[in-house]
Formats: sequence, structure tokens, C-alpha cells
Amino acid sequence: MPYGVSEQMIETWGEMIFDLSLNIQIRRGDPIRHLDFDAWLGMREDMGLTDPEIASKLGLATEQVTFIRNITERRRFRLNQYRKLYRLGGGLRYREGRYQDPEEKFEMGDAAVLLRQAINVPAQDAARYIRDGLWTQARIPDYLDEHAAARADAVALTDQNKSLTWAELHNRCHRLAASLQSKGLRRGDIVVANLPAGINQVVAYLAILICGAVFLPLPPQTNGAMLAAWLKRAGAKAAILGSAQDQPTLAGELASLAKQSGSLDLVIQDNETRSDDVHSLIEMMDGHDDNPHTGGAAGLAATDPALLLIADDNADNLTTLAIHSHQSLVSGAASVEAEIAGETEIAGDPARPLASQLSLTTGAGSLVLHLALRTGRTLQFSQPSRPDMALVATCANHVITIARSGAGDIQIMSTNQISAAMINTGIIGDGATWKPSIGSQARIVNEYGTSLLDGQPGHLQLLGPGQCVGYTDGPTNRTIDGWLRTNHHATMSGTDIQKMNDSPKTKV
Amino acid sequence: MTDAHDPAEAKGELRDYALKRGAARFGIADAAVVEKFTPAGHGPSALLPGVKSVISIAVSGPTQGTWRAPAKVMTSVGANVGRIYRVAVGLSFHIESRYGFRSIYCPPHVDPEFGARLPLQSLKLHAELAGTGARSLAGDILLDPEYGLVYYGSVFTEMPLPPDEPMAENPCPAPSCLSVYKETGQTPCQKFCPVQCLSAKLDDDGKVEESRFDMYRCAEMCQQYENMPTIMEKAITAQDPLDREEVLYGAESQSFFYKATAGVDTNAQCFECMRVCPIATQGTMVDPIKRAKTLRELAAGEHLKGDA
Ligand code: SF4
Ligand code: SF4
Repeated sequence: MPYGVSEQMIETWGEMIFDLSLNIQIRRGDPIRHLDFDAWLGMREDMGLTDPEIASKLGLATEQVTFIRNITERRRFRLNQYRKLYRLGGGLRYREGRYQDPEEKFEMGDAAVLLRQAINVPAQDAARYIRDGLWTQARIPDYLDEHAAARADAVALTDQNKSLTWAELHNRCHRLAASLQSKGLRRGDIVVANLPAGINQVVAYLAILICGAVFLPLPPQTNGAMLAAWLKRAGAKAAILGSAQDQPTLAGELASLAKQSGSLDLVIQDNETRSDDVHSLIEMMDGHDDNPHTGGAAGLAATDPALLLIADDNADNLTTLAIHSHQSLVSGAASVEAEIAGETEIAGDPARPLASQLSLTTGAGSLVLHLALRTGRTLQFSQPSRPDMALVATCANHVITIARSGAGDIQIMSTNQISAAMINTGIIGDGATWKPSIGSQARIVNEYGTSLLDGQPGHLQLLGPGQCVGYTDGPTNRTIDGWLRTNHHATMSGTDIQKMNDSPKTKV
Repeated sequence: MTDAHDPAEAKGELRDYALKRGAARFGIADAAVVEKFTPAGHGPSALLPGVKSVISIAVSGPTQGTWRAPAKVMTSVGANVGRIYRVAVGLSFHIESRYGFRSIYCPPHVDPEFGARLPLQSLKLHAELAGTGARSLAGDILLDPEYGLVYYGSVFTEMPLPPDEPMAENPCPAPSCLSVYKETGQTPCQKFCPVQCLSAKLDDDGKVEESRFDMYRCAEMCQQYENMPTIMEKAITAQDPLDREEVLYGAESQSFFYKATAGVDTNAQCFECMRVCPIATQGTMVDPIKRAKTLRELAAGEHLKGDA
């Protein structure tokens, strides 16, 4: 016990001593310059006392005052204030609103921390993708900004009922992002949504990314119990639900769940109006919800997680999620965009249900969206407005078949775990020959994981920049050196891959 | 004591000595008056029992180029305290060897009995009483109407010397600051302080009814004495090994340790209140570029042999 001072004494006297000392100095007038001794004496206590003076005022020993003062000062001392200065000078002045503590930018909830800890990219792969220009600093919302500036009035999204230009899409996403931030959504938070494929799903996704948060899309038909289970499993901060027509009581049930949940505290429904506990997505997007524009997540990085997809073949179980970063999503789209040069629109095949094609719940659907975002093309959730100019994507079984207006069809393989891994520009159907997309690699291995020679049949494994950057806990189908085990049996000759059939053994 | 000397002449000679070596201002306070305005144990007699005179010396602040530099550059080159040591220590030897009176360079440091925030002596008090500066609204920084922001050193001597008067006028707040205050409720220095540790109530004429300086906030910027123990404590109590590594090896800590081990004498400085202060940045003798011109234009004055 230094100088007979207990913790209790620090509690009793600490603040008083702190305030009486030089830490706070109050002066009236200019008594020293006027040699006004009485005035000076009258404000001595306010100007700050020495330790012996404080000791005699409070009835403590001087050593005790010194110790308590120093400890109290130490406890109140904030480290790293100094860095407020680092970007100032040469005419730029400090303003409170301009400064954000770097650590604040990276404050994350528990689920966000766990997610980040699950990201695991082999160093040599990351180095290759960076060296080859496949992974860049571009974040997905950067493309929204770019197109809103460069082609503000061009149509970005359309469906049967409405269209949004790039400028409108940008505004809508930013309004929703601001509203989400004002309601507490932070960097790294996970938002689960069971919205159907369409404009609102895209707006919600982009707004969430602008906030630095992470989107976990579930199929719209996901039932209440499953949804609640996913919310809990993901440690979700927010849930965005389809319209009340489709799910009349679900939002209310989740709102009461949110009250008991440690993480979930925001329930939003794709409705025009809000209720006590359930916010209206439409209101938040349209800006009727009274909130300031709080801007994007400062410091959002291309390596940040952006999208969580249920690992392939496990959609019915609560299982592993494949974590995609801005980099992996963007590079997947980038690696195939040359194949659609010249097309102006991307649309779902009108002959098939949209939900199975352009939904963000699948790797194939998400590739189509990112392709549109990267290239500034119109994404149509309805029949192409000009079929002759359009490129129609049909996503089924991880394969997007794109009917190009000016060239033959191509196929792109994009699973929930690897985006745009292989391309087929030749025969469609049986006997098709695939090649790894730009930056991707393929190999055929036997059941022990040993690489096989050209022409020998075995299990197909893939590696590429569009691959998910990690998995949440649970079984994964990644090899120790980072390759994705597919469920395909194939042969390979040079870079030509011929898929033979699914290989049940390699299913997770 | 050596040969008899004329105190006024000796004062002139000492002033010349100081100005020739780079002082911008030179002033003398009666040690007894300083003692009267000092808390017990912190007066000049605590250092030199027979002290008669307190000499306050000021050297000018940063160059114009420095004022325009980014803050992180200014933090390392803005302070100009090295010259003080040269002038004041030299002066203390000079008084002893030429006039035979005991003298001492007043250490500008903290009182080791009390930790890091209580000074041994208040150099500002010496300067106020010797007329080399007046207390501003910016964290008690003293300002000179011509030289603006200056750095102080004090010499105590047993030699009786004719004292100077405190400044007749306080240049702070400047008229433009008063206008800003009337409009916004804050003077420029208050407005731009990164930790908002300054506030004041001024009357219509600019007289200070009350001013407040939260020194503990300013200390977070301008002192880093608490850094080392704070870093150590955080390292010891960190749960996550990465947090421990960040607190020990993060950029802030690295640069702090660099300064400590490289012996950089300015561990921390903040000039944001002074950057926006018209007295600090626009006084007639502040700008070394303009100063030469001013010196030529002025008739020979007492500051002519300053640190131009
Ligand atoms: S030195 Fe910096 S922290 Fe201190 S009062 Fe001036 S502006 Fe504020
Ligand atoms: S800016 Fe300078 S002159 Fe103006 S009030 Fe502050 S210290 Fe005084």
C-alpha cells in the first residue's frame, strides 16, 4: 500500500485532487501583469494548487496527494490523442467532425471478429493475385460511385415495374446505408436477408457493403425457424425480410426474438410502413426515415468480407458459410468480363424463374450482379428490353449460360465457393471443354489428393482469385494448400478440362 | 562580489550579451516580487537562496515555413528551445565571471518530487513579471506583441539589477479574435484546439472575465510522460496477443520509443492553437523574412540586435 493509500482513498479523493491541481486552471482578469496580489491570491485555488497546498487543504499527507494525483492523471490519460495532429497543417485545421480515431473505424462486434478470424488465404496465392493484378484495391461500392458519376442517367436495374438509373441506385443505396448506420449497423456486422431476387435485394446488398457490413442472403422461402437459426448461427446484427404479404407474422416474431438476442437488434421488412419494432425497408431507402447521411464506412478495404454464401450442397443444413471478400467477388467478375465485351445488358432468362438465376444467394447469381456492376451494364430482372442487344444469363447448377447477341453462347462455372472458376466457349452440353478462367488453376487428383497425369480421370480441384477467402466454422471442402475440392469427376489435358460426372465422394 | 558596477549599465551590457547570442527579448523581475506570486517551495529562493534578480530571456518561435508545414512536421521542428539553453547558460556564466555574483540557469523541468505535471519553477511567471510576455487565452501560452510565440529561459542571480515592468498591454485577444469570439463564442485558438481544452468569457472590450484551461487535455497532446507506463500496463493486461503486440509495437508506440531512444527532445508538441493566432503568426517580428525589412525600417530599438 504505497504511502498508506488504498484504492478506496483514490476513489474518495482522486477527482477532488485532480480538479484542485494544475490539471484545470481558471483565471479571472490578468492579475499578475497588473501586480494585483490580492486578486491573484483570491483565485489561487482555481488556478491550480501544488501538492503540499492540496494536502493541507484536504488533510492528507503530501506524498499521498502526489500519489493519488498521479494515479488519477494516469487513469484519465488517453493514449494516442497525438495522432489527431498527423494529417493537419499547411492550412488544414483540426475539426472534430473531420477526425475519426483509427481504432474506432475498426471497432467490431463479436460476430465480425469471428468472421475476420475465419478468413484464411495462403500467402503465396494472395501474393500471386496481387502481382497479376487480379486482386486490387477496388471495393464493390466503388463501381456504384463510378457509374453514378460516369453514366448517371443510364439504367442500372430494371424489373417489370420499375427502373433505376445509376444515379438513383447510388442515392437509394446511400440513403439506406445512412439509415442503417444511424440505427447502429457497424463495420463487419452481419445482415441476414431472405429477400427475393430483384432490385431491393441489390439495393440492400450494396447499402450493407457501403456500411462496411456483410450480407448473408437466404432463399426467400426460408421458413421462420430456419431463418431464426441462421440469425443465431451467424450472430447477425440485422434481419431484412421479404414483404409482409409473403411472411405476415415473421417480422413480429423476429422482432421479439431480437429483444432477447445478444446480437440481433434490427428487424427490417420490405414494406411501405413500419411498426414499433419492425422498420420499413422502403422508408429507409426512400429517405423518409428521418436520419442524417452518415456516409460510408471509413477505411473499408477490398480485403474486407462482403458476402456470405452457404457452402455448396449444404443449403438445407446449418452449416459452413463461404466468406467472400470484395476482392474475390470483383476478381471473379473481372476474369470473365472480356467474354461479354460488346453487350449492353444482362438479363435473366425470361423462360426460367428469376429466383433461380439472378439471386445473390448463389455464386452464379452473384457473379451476374458483379459482372453488371463492374462493367456498368444494365441488369434486368425481367425480359430484356432489346433482346438483340442483350446477353441472357441462365444460372443453373453453378453454371451460367450466357447467350451473347453477337457471338456464340458461353458457359461460366461459378459455385458458391468459387466465382468464375472455369469457362467454356466451345460446345455446350455433353463433351464440353472447359478452361480455367484468368488467374484460376485446375488439377485432377486421386482420392489421396495426389495430382494425376494428363488424361487420367480423377477429382477436379480448383484454385483462383474468385475463390472464397475462408469459411465459418464447420466442414469445408478446401485442401490444406487452399484448393477447392469440387464434386466433379474430370480429366485434364493441358488446360482443357472435361467434366465427366459428379463425384459423390467429394461432396461435403 | 568584484569591482563596483553601475546596475543600469550592467543591465544594458547583459541585455546586449543575450541579444547578441540570439535572444529576442530580455527582461528583469525583482526576485522578491516573483517570490510573492509563487506557491511555497517554487520561488527563486528555492534554487538560489540569496537571489535578487530574475532574468527572463525569450527566443523567437518557428519560421514562417514551419508554420505552414503539416502538423507532424511541425511537432518535431516547431519548438525552438535549443537556443534558450545556449543564451541562458552562457549568461549565468557571464554574470559570475564578469560581475562576480552567483547565478544559476533555472531548469525548465518538472519538480522530481511530484511527478510529471508540476514544474520546479514557472518560467511564465518570470516572463510576465519581467515584461517579456503576457498571458494569452491559449493554454496560458505567453505572447509577445511583436515576436508572437516565444520560448523562455530564466537566470537567477544574486546581482541586484533594475527590474522591468510587466507589459502595459496584453496583445491577447487580438481585435480580430474578439470579433470571431463575438460571432461564434470562441476565439480562434479555442476553436481549433484538437482537444477543446480552452474556453473563456470575454467582455465587450475583450477583457478576460474568466478563462479556463483544461491542462490535462492539452497534456495528452503536448506531453507523453504517461505513454510509457500506459503502454506497459496495457501490454500486461491485454487478453489478446495481437492487442499486446499493437500496444507495444504499433505505430504510436514505435514512434514514441524512437523519440525516447534517439533522444529527440520534443517528444510531443502541438501548435494548433498558435497556428491560428494572429499574434503568433503575424506579429511584426514573427516572420524572419519580413523581420529584416522591419529592422531596417525601425529606428534603432531595443530589440534590434535580436535573433534576426
Ligand atoms: S497546444 Fe494544442 S492541445 Fe494545447 S491548447 Fe494548444 S491547441 Fe490545444
Ligand atoms: S488566437 Fe491568439 S490572440 Fe487570439 S485569443 Fe487566442 S491566443 Fe489570444
